[in-house]
Amino acid sequence: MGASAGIGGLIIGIAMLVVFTMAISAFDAQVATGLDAIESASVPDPSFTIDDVNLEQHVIHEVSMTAGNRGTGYVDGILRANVGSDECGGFSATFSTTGGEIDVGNVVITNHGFCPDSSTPTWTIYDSSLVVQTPSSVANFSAPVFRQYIYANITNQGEDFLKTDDVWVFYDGEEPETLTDSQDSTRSEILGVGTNWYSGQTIQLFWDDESSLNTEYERLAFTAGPTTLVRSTS
Amino acid sequence: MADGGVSTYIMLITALLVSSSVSAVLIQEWSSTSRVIQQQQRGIQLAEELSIDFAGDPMNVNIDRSTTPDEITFYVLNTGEHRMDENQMEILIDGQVIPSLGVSTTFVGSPTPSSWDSMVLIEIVLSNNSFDSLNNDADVSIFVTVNSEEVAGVSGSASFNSEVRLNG
Repeated sequence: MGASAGIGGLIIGIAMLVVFTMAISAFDAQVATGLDAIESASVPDPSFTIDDVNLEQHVIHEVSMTAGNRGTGYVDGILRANVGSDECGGFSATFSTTGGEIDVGNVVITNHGFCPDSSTPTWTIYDSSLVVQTPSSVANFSAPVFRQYIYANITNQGEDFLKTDDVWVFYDGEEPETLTDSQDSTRSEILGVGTNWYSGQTIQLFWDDESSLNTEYERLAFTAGPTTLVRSTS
Repeated sequence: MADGGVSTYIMLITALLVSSSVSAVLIQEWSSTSRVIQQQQRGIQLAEELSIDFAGDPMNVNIDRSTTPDEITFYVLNTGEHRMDENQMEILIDGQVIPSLGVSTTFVGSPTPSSWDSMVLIEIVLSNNSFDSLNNDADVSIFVTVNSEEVAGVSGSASFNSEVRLNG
Protein backbone atom coordinates (compact mmCIF):
# COMPACT_ATOMS: atom_id res chain seq x y z
CA MET A 1 0.00 0.00 0.00
CA GLY A 2 2.68 2.43 1.06
CA ALA A 3 4.82 1.46 -1.92
CA SER A 4 1.94 1.96 -4.32
CA ALA A 5 1.25 5.40 -2.93
CA GLY A 6 4.94 6.20 -3.32
CA ILE A 7 4.98 5.02 -6.93
CA GLY A 8 1.83 7.02 -7.60
CA GLY A 9 3.41 10.10 -6.11
CA LEU A 10 6.54 9.48 -8.16
CA ILE A 11 4.52 9.28 -11.36
CA ILE A 12 2.63 12.44 -10.52
CA GLY A 13 5.88 14.14 -9.58
CA ILE A 14 7.54 13.12 -12.84
CA ALA A 15 4.51 14.31 -14.79
CA MET A 16 4.66 17.66 -13.02
CA LEU A 17 8.38 17.88 -13.72
CA VAL A 18 7.75 17.26 -17.40
CA VAL A 19 5.09 19.97 -17.44
CA PHE A 20 7.40 22.33 -15.58
CA THR A 21 10.27 21.61 -17.97
CA MET A 22 8.09 22.33 -20.96
CA ALA A 23 6.84 25.52 -19.40
CA ILE A 24 10.39 26.62 -18.70
CA SER A 25 11.55 25.78 -22.22
CA ALA A 26 8.64 27.69 -23.75
CA PHE A 27 9.39 30.63 -21.45
CA ASP A 28 13.06 30.51 -22.45
CA ALA A 29 12.13 30.49 -26.12
CA GLN A 30 9.87 33.49 -25.66
CA VAL A 31 12.52 35.40 -23.76
CA ALA A 32 15.08 34.57 -26.46
CA THR A 33 12.85 35.74 -29.30
CA GLY A 34 11.89 38.81 -27.27
CA LEU A 35 15.55 39.67 -26.75
CA ASP A 36 16.24 39.16 -30.45
CA ALA A 37 13.41 41.51 -31.29
CA ILE A 38 14.71 44.11 -28.83
CA GLU A 39 18.22 43.72 -30.22
CA SER A 40 17.11 44.16 -33.82
CA ALA A 41 14.93 47.12 -32.88
CA SER A 42 17.79 48.85 -31.07
CA VAL A 43 19.98 49.25 -34.19
CA PRO A 44 19.96 53.00 -34.86
CA ASP A 45 19.21 54.35 -38.32
CA PRO A 46 22.20 55.71 -40.24
CA SER A 47 22.77 59.39 -39.69
CA PHE A 48 25.00 61.52 -41.87
CA THR A 49 25.30 65.01 -43.29
CA ILE A 50 26.13 66.32 -46.73
CA ASP A 51 28.47 69.14 -45.81
CA ASP A 52 28.70 70.58 -49.31
CA VAL A 53 28.28 69.69 -52.96
CA ASN A 54 29.98 71.80 -55.60
CA LEU A 55 29.54 71.13 -59.26
CA GLU A 56 31.61 72.70 -61.98
CA GLN A 57 30.90 72.02 -65.61
CA HIS A 58 33.28 72.64 -68.51
CA VAL A 59 36.30 72.10 -66.32
CA ILE A 60 39.56 71.94 -68.27
CA HIS A 61 40.55 68.39 -67.47
CA GLU A 62 43.45 68.03 -69.88
CA VAL A 63 45.43 70.17 -72.31
CA SER A 64 47.44 68.94 -75.23
CA MET A 65 49.13 70.05 -78.41
CA THR A 66 50.22 68.26 -81.50
CA ALA A 67 53.78 67.98 -82.74
CA GLY A 68 54.77 70.97 -84.77
CA ASN A 69 52.62 73.29 -82.66
CA ARG A 70 54.98 73.59 -79.74
CA GLY A 71 56.33 76.94 -80.85
CA THR A 72 59.86 78.20 -80.46
CA GLY A 73 61.52 80.81 -78.32
CA TYR A 74 59.63 79.99 -75.16
CA VAL A 75 60.91 79.77 -71.61
CA ASP A 76 59.36 77.81 -68.73
CA GLY A 77 56.16 79.53 -67.69
CA ILE A 78 52.45 79.53 -66.98
CA LEU A 79 49.43 78.83 -69.20
CA ARG A 80 46.14 80.62 -68.65
CA ALA A 81 42.81 80.40 -70.47
CA ASN A 82 39.93 82.74 -71.08
CA VAL A 83 36.69 82.85 -73.03
CA GLY A 84 36.07 86.51 -73.77
CA SER A 85 36.39 88.30 -70.46
CA ASP A 86 35.79 85.08 -68.51
CA GLU A 87 39.04 83.73 -67.10
CA CYS A 88 37.79 80.13 -66.95
CA GLY A 89 37.58 80.07 -63.18
CA GLY A 90 41.25 80.83 -62.71
CA PHE A 91 42.56 77.99 -64.84
CA SER A 92 46.32 77.78 -64.56
CA ALA A 93 49.00 75.34 -65.64
CA THR A 94 52.75 75.35 -65.51
CA PHE A 95 54.95 74.05 -68.28
CA SER A 96 58.59 73.56 -69.06
CA THR A 97 60.39 73.96 -72.33
CA THR A 98 63.02 72.04 -74.20
CA GLY A 99 65.13 74.07 -76.60
CA GLY A 100 62.54 76.83 -76.60
CA GLU A 101 59.69 74.42 -77.46
CA ILE A 102 56.90 73.81 -74.98
CA ASP A 103 57.25 70.32 -73.56
CA VAL A 104 53.63 69.15 -73.60
CA GLY A 105 54.52 66.15 -71.43
CA ASN A 106 55.36 68.57 -68.66
CA VAL A 107 52.24 70.69 -68.62
CA VAL A 108 50.92 70.44 -65.08
CA ILE A 109 47.48 71.84 -64.39
CA THR A 110 47.56 73.55 -61.00
CA ASN A 111 44.00 74.88 -61.16
CA HIS A 112 41.51 73.15 -63.46
CA GLY A 113 39.13 76.11 -63.34
CA PHE A 114 35.92 75.99 -65.35
CA CYS A 115 34.93 77.73 -68.54
CA PRO A 116 31.50 79.20 -69.29
CA ASP A 117 30.98 76.70 -72.11
CA SER A 118 32.78 74.00 -74.04
CA SER A 119 34.23 76.26 -76.72
CA THR A 120 38.00 76.24 -77.04
CA PRO A 121 39.37 79.03 -74.85
CA THR A 122 41.99 81.53 -75.84
CA TRP A 123 45.34 80.48 -74.43
CA THR A 124 47.76 83.01 -73.01
CA ILE A 125 51.32 81.96 -72.34
CA TYR A 126 53.19 83.80 -69.61
CA ASP A 127 56.67 83.49 -68.24
CA SER A 128 57.09 82.68 -64.55
CA SER A 129 56.73 86.41 -63.70
CA LEU A 130 53.33 86.51 -65.43
CA VAL A 131 54.65 88.55 -68.35
CA VAL A 132 53.20 87.49 -71.70
CA GLN A 133 55.89 85.73 -73.69
CA THR A 134 56.93 86.86 -77.15
CA PRO A 135 58.10 83.72 -78.92
CA SER A 136 59.68 83.50 -82.31
CA SER A 137 57.04 80.99 -83.36
CA VAL A 138 53.67 80.81 -81.54
CA ALA A 139 52.61 77.55 -79.92
CA ASN A 140 49.04 76.31 -80.45
CA PHE A 141 47.34 74.24 -77.82
CA SER A 142 44.61 71.89 -79.01
CA ALA A 143 41.02 72.04 -77.81
CA PRO A 144 41.09 70.96 -74.17
CA VAL A 145 39.28 67.96 -72.72
CA PHE A 146 36.36 69.33 -70.75
CA ARG A 147 34.81 67.43 -67.85
CA GLN A 148 32.19 67.94 -65.20
CA TYR A 149 33.74 67.99 -61.73
CA ILE A 150 31.70 67.39 -58.60
CA TYR A 151 33.19 67.87 -55.16
CA ALA A 152 31.34 66.81 -52.01
CA ASN A 153 32.06 66.24 -48.36
CA ILE A 154 29.87 63.93 -46.32
CA THR A 155 30.16 63.15 -42.61
CA ASN A 156 28.90 60.11 -40.73
CA GLN A 157 27.05 61.55 -37.72
CA GLY A 158 25.71 58.22 -36.51
CA GLU A 159 26.98 55.88 -33.83
CA ASP A 160 27.87 53.04 -36.17
CA PHE A 161 30.10 52.83 -39.20
CA LEU A 162 28.55 52.52 -42.62
CA LYS A 163 29.88 50.57 -45.56
CA THR A 164 30.41 52.65 -48.68
CA ASP A 165 29.01 49.68 -50.63
CA ASP A 166 25.70 50.18 -48.82
CA VAL A 167 25.38 53.90 -49.50
CA TRP A 168 23.66 54.83 -52.76
CA VAL A 169 24.14 58.03 -54.73
CA PHE A 170 21.49 59.42 -57.08
CA TYR A 171 22.03 62.18 -59.63
CA ASP A 172 18.84 64.21 -60.04
CA GLY A 173 17.04 61.14 -58.71
CA GLU A 174 18.43 58.80 -61.36
CA GLU A 175 21.45 56.68 -62.29
CA PRO A 176 21.93 55.17 -58.82
CA GLU A 177 25.28 53.69 -57.95
CA THR A 178 26.96 52.79 -54.72
CA LEU A 179 29.28 55.33 -53.18
CA THR A 180 32.15 52.95 -53.89
CA ASP A 181 31.32 52.54 -57.56
CA SER A 182 30.69 56.26 -58.01
CA GLN A 183 34.28 57.15 -57.19
CA ASP A 184 36.79 56.33 -59.89
CA SER A 185 39.20 59.24 -59.76
CA THR A 186 42.52 59.19 -57.99
CA ARG A 187 41.47 62.49 -56.48
CA SER A 188 38.70 60.78 -54.54
CA GLU A 189 39.30 59.50 -51.05
CA ILE A 190 37.57 56.23 -51.90
CA LEU A 191 38.79 55.51 -55.43
CA GLY A 192 36.35 52.71 -56.16
CA VAL A 193 37.35 50.58 -53.20
CA GLY A 194 34.71 49.63 -50.64
CA THR A 195 35.61 50.89 -47.22
CA ASN A 196 34.13 51.57 -43.82
CA TRP A 197 32.80 55.04 -43.17
CA TYR A 198 33.32 55.50 -39.47
CA SER A 199 31.37 57.58 -37.02
CA GLY A 200 32.54 61.19 -37.20
CA GLN A 201 34.55 60.60 -40.38
CA THR A 202 34.26 63.08 -43.24
CA ILE A 203 34.79 61.61 -46.69
CA GLN A 204 35.91 63.84 -49.53
CA LEU A 205 34.21 62.79 -52.74
CA PHE A 206 35.18 63.72 -56.25
CA TRP A 207 33.66 62.95 -59.63
CA ASP A 208 35.06 63.84 -63.03
CA ASP A 209 32.51 62.94 -65.66
CA GLU A 210 32.55 63.27 -69.39
CA SER A 211 30.62 66.51 -69.66
CA SER A 212 29.39 65.60 -73.12
CA LEU A 213 27.64 62.55 -71.64
CA ASN A 214 26.25 64.16 -68.52
CA THR A 215 23.80 66.94 -68.00
CA GLU A 216 24.55 69.46 -65.31
CA TYR A 217 23.16 67.84 -62.20
CA GLU A 218 21.11 69.99 -59.86
CA ARG A 219 20.68 67.68 -56.88
CA LEU A 220 22.61 64.80 -55.37
CA ALA A 221 20.83 62.32 -53.12
CA PHE A 222 22.49 59.89 -50.75
CA THR A 223 20.57 56.91 -49.36
CA ALA A 224 21.88 54.74 -46.52
CA GLY A 225 19.30 52.29 -45.22
CA PRO A 226 16.13 54.19 -44.41
CA THR A 227 17.98 57.53 -44.34
CA THR A 228 17.98 59.69 -47.46
CA LEU A 229 19.54 63.13 -47.71
CA VAL A 230 19.46 65.39 -50.73
CA ARG A 231 21.50 68.49 -51.43
CA SER A 232 21.40 70.96 -54.29
CA THR A 233 24.64 71.50 -56.12
CA SER A 234 26.20 74.92 -56.04
CA MET B 1 -9.90 -4.59 6.22
CA ALA B 2 -9.23 -6.53 3.03
CA ASP B 3 -12.21 -4.77 1.36
CA GLY B 4 -10.86 -1.44 2.53
CA GLY B 5 -7.46 -2.30 1.04
CA VAL B 6 -8.93 -3.21 -2.36
CA SER B 7 -11.06 -0.10 -2.57
CA THR B 8 -8.07 1.99 -1.59
CA TYR B 9 -6.08 0.33 -4.42
CA ILE B 10 -8.90 1.01 -6.85
CA MET B 11 -9.11 4.62 -5.77
CA LEU B 12 -5.35 5.00 -5.97
CA ILE B 13 -5.14 3.46 -9.44
CA THR B 14 -8.09 5.54 -10.59
CA ALA B 15 -6.42 8.64 -9.20
CA LEU B 16 -3.20 7.70 -10.98
CA LEU B 17 -5.01 7.08 -14.23
CA VAL B 18 -6.92 10.34 -14.01
CA SER B 19 -3.88 12.37 -13.04
CA SER B 20 -1.80 10.75 -15.78
CA SER B 21 -4.38 11.43 -18.43
CA VAL B 22 -4.86 14.99 -17.18
CA SER B 23 -1.09 15.44 -17.25
CA ALA B 24 -0.97 14.06 -20.77
CA VAL B 25 -3.71 16.40 -21.90
CA LEU B 26 -2.02 19.32 -20.13
CA ILE B 27 1.33 18.52 -21.68
CA GLN B 28 -0.23 18.26 -25.12
CA GLU B 29 -2.15 21.50 -24.71
CA TRP B 30 0.87 23.29 -23.33
CA SER B 31 2.98 22.04 -26.21
CA SER B 32 0.55 23.27 -28.82
CA THR B 33 0.05 26.55 -26.96
CA SER B 34 3.76 27.19 -26.68
CA ARG B 35 4.16 26.20 -30.35
CA VAL B 36 1.55 28.75 -31.34
CA ILE B 37 3.12 31.38 -29.10
CA GLN B 38 6.54 30.67 -30.57
CA GLN B 39 5.09 30.89 -34.06
CA GLN B 40 3.52 34.23 -33.23
CA GLN B 41 6.73 35.44 -31.64
CA ARG B 42 8.63 34.43 -34.76
CA GLY B 43 6.09 36.30 -36.87
CA ILE B 44 6.38 39.41 -34.69
CA GLN B 45 10.14 39.19 -34.73
CA LEU B 46 10.18 38.69 -38.50
CA ALA B 47 7.92 41.70 -38.95
CA GLU B 48 10.46 43.73 -36.98
CA GLU B 49 13.22 42.52 -39.25
CA LEU B 50 11.47 43.31 -42.54
CA SER B 51 11.69 46.76 -43.98
CA ILE B 52 11.74 48.53 -47.34
CA ASP B 53 12.17 52.22 -48.02
CA PHE B 54 12.02 54.69 -50.83
CA ALA B 55 15.54 55.48 -52.07
CA GLY B 56 16.72 58.44 -54.07
CA ASP B 57 15.52 61.97 -54.49
CA PRO B 58 11.86 62.34 -53.54
CA MET B 59 11.74 65.63 -55.45
CA ASN B 60 13.03 64.02 -58.64
CA VAL B 61 10.97 60.97 -59.52
CA ASN B 62 11.22 60.51 -63.24
CA ILE B 63 8.13 60.36 -65.40
CA ASP B 64 8.92 59.41 -68.96
CA ARG B 65 6.62 61.09 -71.49
CA SER B 66 8.23 59.42 -74.48
CA THR B 67 6.51 56.10 -73.84
CA THR B 68 2.87 55.10 -74.28
CA PRO B 69 1.52 55.13 -71.68
CA ASP B 70 3.79 57.33 -69.56
CA GLU B 71 6.18 55.57 -67.19
CA ILE B 72 7.15 56.44 -63.65
CA THR B 73 10.51 55.18 -62.37
CA PHE B 74 11.58 55.06 -58.74
CA TYR B 75 13.85 53.04 -56.48
CA VAL B 76 13.23 50.92 -53.40
CA LEU B 77 15.88 49.69 -50.99
CA ASN B 78 15.53 46.55 -48.90
CA THR B 79 16.45 47.97 -45.50
CA GLY B 80 15.46 44.85 -43.58
CA GLU B 81 17.46 41.79 -42.73
CA HIS B 82 15.74 39.23 -44.93
CA ARG B 83 15.22 38.56 -48.60
CA MET B 84 12.09 40.07 -50.11
CA ASP B 85 10.12 38.69 -53.04
CA GLU B 86 9.96 41.32 -55.78
CA ASN B 87 7.32 39.24 -57.54
CA GLN B 88 4.90 39.60 -54.65
CA MET B 89 4.48 43.32 -54.63
CA GLU B 90 1.54 45.69 -54.66
CA ILE B 91 1.96 49.32 -55.66
CA LEU B 92 -0.50 52.16 -55.31
CA ILE B 93 -0.06 55.58 -56.87
CA ASP B 94 -2.36 58.14 -55.28
CA GLY B 95 -4.36 55.25 -53.89
CA GLN B 96 -4.83 53.54 -57.23
CA VAL B 97 -3.55 50.00 -57.55
CA ILE B 98 -1.15 49.54 -60.45
CA PRO B 99 -1.85 46.15 -62.08
CA SER B 100 1.12 43.81 -62.03
CA LEU B 101 1.27 43.89 -65.84
CA GLY B 102 2.30 47.53 -65.57
CA VAL B 103 5.07 46.88 -63.05
CA SER B 104 8.60 45.90 -63.98
CA THR B 105 11.50 45.54 -61.59
CA THR B 106 15.26 45.53 -62.17
CA PHE B 107 18.03 44.97 -59.67
CA VAL B 108 20.57 47.78 -59.51
CA GLY B 109 24.27 47.44 -58.80
CA SER B 110 27.45 45.96 -60.07
CA PRO B 111 27.60 43.01 -60.18
CA THR B 112 23.85 42.88 -60.67
CA PRO B 113 22.19 41.07 -57.77
CA SER B 114 19.92 38.16 -58.57
CA SER B 115 17.70 38.38 -55.50
CA TRP B 116 16.33 41.14 -53.35
CA ASP B 117 18.53 40.72 -50.31
CA SER B 118 19.22 43.20 -47.57
CA MET B 119 20.62 46.52 -48.85
CA VAL B 120 19.89 45.59 -52.45
CA LEU B 121 18.34 48.38 -54.52
CA ILE B 122 15.60 47.71 -57.00
CA GLU B 123 14.38 49.91 -59.83
CA ILE B 124 10.64 49.90 -60.35
CA VAL B 125 9.11 51.12 -63.59
CA LEU B 126 5.37 51.64 -63.59
CA SER B 127 3.32 51.95 -66.72
CA ASN B 128 -0.28 53.06 -66.57
CA ASN B 129 -2.67 55.16 -68.65
CA SER B 130 -3.59 57.22 -65.60
CA PHE B 131 -0.08 58.71 -65.57
CA ASP B 132 -0.75 60.56 -68.82
CA SER B 133 -2.90 63.09 -66.99
CA LEU B 134 -0.30 63.83 -64.31
CA ASN B 135 1.56 67.14 -64.52
CA ASN B 136 5.33 67.14 -64.90
CA ASP B 137 5.81 68.44 -61.37
CA ALA B 138 2.84 66.72 -59.75
CA ASP B 139 3.13 65.53 -56.16
CA VAL B 140 2.00 61.92 -55.90
CA SER B 141 1.77 59.39 -53.13
CA ILE B 142 3.59 56.10 -53.60
CA PHE B 143 2.62 53.11 -51.49
CA VAL B 144 4.51 49.86 -51.89
CA THR B 145 4.00 46.63 -50.00
CA VAL B 146 6.11 43.52 -50.56
CA ASN B 147 6.06 40.02 -49.15
CA SER B 148 9.21 38.47 -47.82
CA GLU B 149 10.51 35.10 -48.79
CA GLU B 150 9.91 32.41 -46.16
CA VAL B 151 12.18 32.51 -43.12
CA ALA B 152 11.96 29.33 -41.00
CA GLY B 153 8.52 28.64 -42.44
CA VAL B 154 7.22 32.12 -41.76
CA SER B 155 6.88 35.02 -44.16
CA GLY B 156 5.84 38.60 -43.57
CA SER B 157 5.46 41.83 -45.43
CA ALA B 158 6.92 45.30 -45.37
CA SER B 159 5.65 48.53 -46.83
CA PHE B 160 6.30 52.23 -47.12
CA ASN B 161 4.36 55.27 -48.11
CA SER B 162 6.12 58.26 -49.58
CA GLU B 163 5.05 61.57 -51.04
CA VAL B 164 7.19 62.43 -54.05
CA ARG B 165 7.37 64.99 -56.83
CA LEU B 166 7.48 63.93 -60.43
CA ASN B 167 10.10 65.32 -62.76
CA GLY B 168 8.92 65.18 -66.34
